[in-house]
This record gives sequence, structure tokens and C-alpha cells, in this order.
Amino acid sequence: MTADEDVLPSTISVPKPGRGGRLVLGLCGLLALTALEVLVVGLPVDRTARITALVGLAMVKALVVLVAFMGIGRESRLLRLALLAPLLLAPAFAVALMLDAAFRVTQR
Amino acid sequence: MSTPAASAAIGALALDPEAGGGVERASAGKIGMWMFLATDAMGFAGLLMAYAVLRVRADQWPDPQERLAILQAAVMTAMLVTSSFTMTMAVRAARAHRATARAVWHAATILLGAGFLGGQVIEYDHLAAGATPMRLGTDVFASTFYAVTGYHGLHVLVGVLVLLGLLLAPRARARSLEVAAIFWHFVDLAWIPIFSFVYLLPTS
Repeated sequence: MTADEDVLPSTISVPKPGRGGRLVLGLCGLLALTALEVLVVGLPVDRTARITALVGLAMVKALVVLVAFMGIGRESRLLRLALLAPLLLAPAFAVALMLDAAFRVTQR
Repeated sequence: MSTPAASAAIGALALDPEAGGGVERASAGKIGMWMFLATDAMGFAGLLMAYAVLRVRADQWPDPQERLAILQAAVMTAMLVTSSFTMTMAVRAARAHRATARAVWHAATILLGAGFLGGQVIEYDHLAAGATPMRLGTDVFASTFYAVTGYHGLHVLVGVLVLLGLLLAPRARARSLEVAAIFWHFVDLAWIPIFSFVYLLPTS
């Protein structure tokens, strides 16, 4: 690469102007979800319900970061699959392991 | 220097003949970063799994809210999330060749990242020097807390240093900034489960 490293290859598209609004929306959503998480912890409801809500909120937040900021939707289908496989398998495995550990504790 | 097979693999990942419009062709650097992050995600997953197993199997586990400052962690989370936004704005400005806007958003990202690290240092200091000091070897809760948040903090530190290097580089590269942005967003992404599981998950 020589003269101007600042120039991206023409194959990479310049973001559309309308995306700015989506980014602000993503940021506001993430901040609101974070506040909601803190509120959920203090709610006088069943522990299981709070945990479910926290896991759900965390998954939505992760999805917002992946889609709005990381632009996973603009990558090629194969790359998306290659990336999402470990990103989805790892938490799925973690949940399975947690359930297994919880089951073993109840069996003690 | 790459082998034909590696080039073909990269080409297959970068191009999707079935994809419609709006799909970008990824650079080799970008694909390399994505692949690195996929493996790094496994590292974080391993730590969180260890945390989960130790927590579930422990006879007693303190409520995180009793020991940790949840509101401070929420503010740190907000800083990291906002830094992802400013990072994206910096990349957009770089793509549009708006040098000043790019520098401003880029610097804002670094400041927010540094703010997060500052918050973590303050948090560690309070925990270690509080009325009931919580140090690395105090108990399993403390060990796992420092291991998980420390590992993430190192990622933030590396990200801040890389971004600082790119900001100070005499000839800034938009492509490098784009690759660094992916790493930075991943740092944000990795913090989301840490905040939920380590700081918020209630014990009872």
C-alpha cells in the first residue's frame, strides 16, 4: 500500500447516511438495557425470574452490539456462520454446564 | 505470503456469491481479526464456565451486591458501550475521509476506554483496602472475580494502547482502524456477560 493508506478499497461500501440513526438507537437501547439490568436485580420477584430476565437482557445487548456496531449483517454468509458458531456454542455450552452442575448439587 | 489453499479459504470467507447487495468484501486483516476473536471468545467462555461451575458447587457464595459496587460497574458498562458507538463513528468518519471528525471520535473512544480502566483500578483499590479487604486469595469469589475482570481489563488496556498508537501514527490507516474497531467492539461484547453474571446474578 503506498500513497494514501486512508483510502479503503472500492469493494468496501461506504456506510449509508441513514445508519447514523440506527447507531444512536443502538446506543440508547444498550444504555436503557443496562439500566434495566440494574433495576431487575432489585426487583422483589423470584430468583429464577430475575436470572432469566438477566440472561435475556444480556443476550439482547450482545445481539445489539453484534448487529449495530460490529455490522455482522454486512459480512458474507460464510464468515457470519464461521463467527457465530463459536459465539453461540460457547454460551450454550456454558449454560449446559451450569445446568449439569446445578443438577449434581441437587443430587448430593 | 500465503498458500493457494489459504488464499482460497480467505476468498471463500470474504466473498459470498449467494449474498445479495449490501454485503461487504472483508479484507484479510478483518478476517484474521474475526478468526482471532472467535478463539479469544473461547478463552472468555472458559473463564465464565469455570466461574459458573465454582459458583454452583460452592457451599456458600456471597451475594455480589454485598461486595461489589453495582452502580459503579453500571457506569463503567455505560462508558464501554458508549465507546463502541464513538468507535463506529470514528470508522465512519475515516471512511468518509473526514479527518477532524475521525480524530475527535477516535480520541473520545480512547478517553472512554481509559475511563473504564480508571474505574476498574478504583474498584480494585476499594475492594482491596476496604473494611473487609477482598484480595486475590481471600476466597473463591475473590479469585474468580479478579481473574475474569482482570483478563477483560487486559483486553481493554491492549485496545486503548492500539487505538492510541493509531491516533498518534503519522499516517493513519482507515483499514487498520476498521480492524481495531472489531477488536474494540469485541471487548465491549465480552463485558456484557461478565457484568450480568459476575456483578448482577443474585445468590438468593
